[in-house]
Amino acid sequence: MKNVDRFDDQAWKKFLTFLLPNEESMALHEVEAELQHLGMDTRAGFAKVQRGLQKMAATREARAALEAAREQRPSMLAKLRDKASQVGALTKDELRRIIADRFSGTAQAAFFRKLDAVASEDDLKSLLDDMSKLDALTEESDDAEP
Amino acid sequence: MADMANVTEDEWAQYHKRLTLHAGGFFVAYGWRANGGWAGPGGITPGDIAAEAILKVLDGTRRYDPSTGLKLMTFLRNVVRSLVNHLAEAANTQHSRPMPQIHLSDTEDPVDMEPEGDEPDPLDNCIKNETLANLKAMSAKEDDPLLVDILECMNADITKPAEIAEYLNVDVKTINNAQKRLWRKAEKMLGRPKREGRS
Repeated sequence: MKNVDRFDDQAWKKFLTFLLPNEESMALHEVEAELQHLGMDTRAGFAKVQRGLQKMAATREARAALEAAREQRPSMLAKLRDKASQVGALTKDELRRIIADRFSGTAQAAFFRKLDAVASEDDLKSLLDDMSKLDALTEESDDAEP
Repeated sequence: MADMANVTEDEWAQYHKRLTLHAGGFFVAYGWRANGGWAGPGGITPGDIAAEAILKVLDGTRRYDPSTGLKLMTFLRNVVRSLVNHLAEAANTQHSRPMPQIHLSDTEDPVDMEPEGDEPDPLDNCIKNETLANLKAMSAKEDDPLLVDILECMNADITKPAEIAEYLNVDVKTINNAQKRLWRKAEKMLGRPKREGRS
């Protein structure tokens, strides 16, 4: 019998920690053998990791697709700016269609009212400017959504 | 995050195995067994802890920053220790005070960024008296020439194999072999659960 009674619990706790397998100094096959020996199954746990990796890959793909779509989408803002440069060629009917297509609710009603009140080219430019600003805000908030 | 982006699924599988064994050591030390296997409070297994650590790092709950110089695996080990400590704290809270439970924020855990070896010691009060009694009984019967010398080192807070080897004036390999030999004896005393599946 060894005289081991003289050591206190702290020493025994350190001894226990010392004895535990240290995976850092083990080759992978030794880690696998120790897991097997201890009856620690890693399959269910790694299945969770795989699901997480798949979910992340799907999210990455969806974000890339969204980004590509955003870059390819002809911006309404750009269209309106384009129209504004040739504002004289725009008819009230075309503007009415753009407002109906692009806006809804109170914004749509306000733009219709402003369109009805247009009396000069400056009024028309002002209307297009308001529309393009609101459109830009809408696009930004659409893009910010997850 | 370039480090993580380059990790293949096979490498994650290897990390998961290593982290499972890393977590498993605490489970053995704490005597966390349930349903014939190593499982902690709530039936959580070492494999669950390893998976949770990886997933938290992947989804950014535990933010890994390679620019700090900390290796990914080191960071993951720290997260594992942190999760085990939280589990142990929850278990202790349940034993001593049923409510309220302590909840530490995942994102504010200082353990994550600690270099390896500087992490807090495992919670001493989680090591059961029964476990220590079994270890003492095993040691008393054991005829290993290095056993008492190693215990003397532990008593003097010399705990790393290289330091022990130097103190005892032997090869590190001798200490590592003694560790493996004594662990095989000890784990029988600590109660190996019935085997389930394979790793």
